[in-house]
Amino acid sequence: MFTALFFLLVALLVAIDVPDLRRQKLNKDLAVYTIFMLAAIYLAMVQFYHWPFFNPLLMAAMRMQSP
Amino acid sequence: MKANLSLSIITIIFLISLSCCNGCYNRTELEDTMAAVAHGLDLSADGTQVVSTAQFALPKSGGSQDDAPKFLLRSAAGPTFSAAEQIMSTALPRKSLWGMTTTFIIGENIARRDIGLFLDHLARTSTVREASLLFLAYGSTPHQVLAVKIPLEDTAGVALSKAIRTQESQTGLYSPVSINEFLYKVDSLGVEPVLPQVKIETVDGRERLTLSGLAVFRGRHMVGSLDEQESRGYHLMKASTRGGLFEITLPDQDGFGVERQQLLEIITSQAEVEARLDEGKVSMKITVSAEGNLYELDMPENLASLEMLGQYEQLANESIQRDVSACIDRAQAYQSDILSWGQLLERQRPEIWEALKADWPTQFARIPYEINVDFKLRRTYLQGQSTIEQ
Amino acid sequence: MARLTNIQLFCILLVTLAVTPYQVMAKMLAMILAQHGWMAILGSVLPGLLLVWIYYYLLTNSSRPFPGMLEEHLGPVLGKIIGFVYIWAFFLVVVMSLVLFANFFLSNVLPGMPISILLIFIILPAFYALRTGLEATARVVELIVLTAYPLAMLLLLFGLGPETDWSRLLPLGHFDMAALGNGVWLVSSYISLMVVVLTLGPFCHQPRLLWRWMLAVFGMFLFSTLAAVIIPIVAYGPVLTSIQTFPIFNIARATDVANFIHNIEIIMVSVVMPGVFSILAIFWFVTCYSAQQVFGLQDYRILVGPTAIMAGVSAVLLVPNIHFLYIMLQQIFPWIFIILFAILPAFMVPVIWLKLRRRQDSDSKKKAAPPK
Repeated sequence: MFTALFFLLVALLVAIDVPDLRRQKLNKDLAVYTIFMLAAIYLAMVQFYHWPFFNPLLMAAMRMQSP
Repeated sequence: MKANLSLSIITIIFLISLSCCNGCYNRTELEDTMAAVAHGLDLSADGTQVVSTAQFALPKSGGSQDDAPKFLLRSAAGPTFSAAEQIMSTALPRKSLWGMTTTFIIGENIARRDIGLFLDHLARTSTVREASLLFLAYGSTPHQVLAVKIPLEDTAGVALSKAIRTQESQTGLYSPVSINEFLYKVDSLGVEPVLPQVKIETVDGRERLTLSGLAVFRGRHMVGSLDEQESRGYHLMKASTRGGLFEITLPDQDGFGVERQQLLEIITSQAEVEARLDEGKVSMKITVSAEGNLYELDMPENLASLEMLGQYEQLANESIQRDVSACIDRAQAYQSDILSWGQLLERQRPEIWEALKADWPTQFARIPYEINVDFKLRRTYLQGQSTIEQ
Repeated sequence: MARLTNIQLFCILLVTLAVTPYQVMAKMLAMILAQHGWMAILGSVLPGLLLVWIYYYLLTNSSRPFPGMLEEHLGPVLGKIIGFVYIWAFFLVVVMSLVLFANFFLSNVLPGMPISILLIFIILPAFYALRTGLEATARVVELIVLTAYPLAMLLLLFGLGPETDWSRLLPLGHFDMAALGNGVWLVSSYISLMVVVLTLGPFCHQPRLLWRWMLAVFGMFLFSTLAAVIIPIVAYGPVLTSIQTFPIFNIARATDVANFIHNIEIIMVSVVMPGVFSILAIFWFVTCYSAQQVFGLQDYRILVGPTAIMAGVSAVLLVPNIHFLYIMLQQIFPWIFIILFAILPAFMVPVIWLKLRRRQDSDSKKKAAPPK
């Protein structure tokens, strides 16, 4: 349910942003947008499906806490 | 235009998606709840579990209200207070509203065993309000205290919080102790907490609650109590107080050979404590400055004489000195620094405090002290001269 | 190009600096310095003034907003690489603000509320503001500061109840100098959040007068943070302050003005909420704007959508619990802030100075050379 809602949200954002970029032929902007959106989807999947995720801040905190 | 339309669509979808949620989070409907106005924390008789007691205020019924029960009292035992409250809630038709509690009664058993058993419940639970007042059920359990019906008030919890506030300015014996203050003193070095004690008395076959002395703590345990005189001394040792009555005994007896006692009133008092160092030894100098009025004479006197007023002031000084001294002696006997001399030492002479703090309870018990009292009699209320002598 | 008034920039900088310390600085300084926490704030006056000067120097000697000025002064390659790092540093502040407020809210007000729902409600208005543009955001922030800042201070003052004991700030001496240094470091790291002025300053009407506003913001920050640090100490003592999750919230819970005004914690939350919206929106804008500059995009607004999702998810992923949050706030973020928001801009000052010097030398040589 939550995943479906999430992808609906992504589809909406894409529907809002991408047509303008394509119309104006801003290919670099489109590429950056795609990379950011893919990163966002990946992070969401990590959260939804508990994929393995390396958290550098957590590692740093562990090191600081250990004697 | 198009961007605004898109944003509006996103907002609407977000709002529609909220319908998937189970309504308002932490929603509490008034008709589904019962408010706990007082909360008791104690140990079970066998000492293996903690006992949570709740006094719930009942809504006023429409008909004759005199005989209608005004509160519901429930107790449950469990490994922790929250667990006990969960067990309690299984037998209650409505959701308990703990955030309305203004009075907490601590059982003597748990106080003598270990206050750590209930401290976390008071400090961590978001439904416990730090401004709520704490009392100790002396010689009884919180359940017994909360079961007592108090005329004029619906519940014992409300009655106690009102009583301690009103008596402070009238008798000058006890001050309310909030959870905040108690936690501060428990967590801080160089000061120990006290709690006002509640006692059940039976008069003419009916039970009533009275405030009777202060429970004294050392570390995580209750170690004893202050009686009324010592409690007054403790009260007078506060930085500033307002109100309170005390008696002085005149040296000469009346015609029947009975001691003559006059009642004086304290309007304001200030206490200053100074840590002194004489030849490497710490001592405390306590100065109490107070102003008061002549409140009532048991035998009419001619007050026209300044000498007589001076004598009263001198007797008042001695009386206050006795009270303060009694409090200090008792605290030192318990090795409990309820007077926060440790903190005073830390603030006034930090280097000495560093040397003494490791063994502070023992050190505190040995500190010599000197008390100076300066009581000024200001007014005599509606009459100057005695009625009879005129 | 969007335009900001100086007062709008003042408001933006004030929320950027004051909101996070308002929520957590009392606890963090009490943990490090006990009752002497306020000394760390006074000790951070000099580092703070130095930072104000550094930012002002960079602003007045650069033609492009940050991080474009990195390319201007350090060259396109190094400038873009460092700029890329800054995108994520600013994004980290966005995540920090989200997590901090979510924990503030869920610890105290609605513990049963799912964090995802709360995050959506925090992100949505900021998302809307950013899509609408910087000017709209600035106007909202202006209103928020004018209404919420005085109220936030008033709520703190209400905390000075009958149990207030000013002697809890004593003794004044007898503190560990290393702990004081640590405290000054911590406070200075949060002052370095003023780095957003490097991005927003060029949007201002009168950038040359910015130093006045920056000093005013710094002064207000000192005042509000001092109040936020001292009041919990005099109300609760240093030990309780250091163990409470959010001492400021406990102040609001315990407030009782004349037995009449109490249970005002919900007002505290409603004051902090717009503040969090502001800091979130500002750093989110700076994140997207930095990405626009680094990648040479036409409009920063296309990145608002993807970064909204990233911020929401990262807030849950990166910070699993409140204990870890405080380790980050006290030990990890200060390093990141000091290195990226203070030391690196400070490093740029001599670089710019040398460049200007060289340009002046070459100009004077040109003038001195006889015309051919």
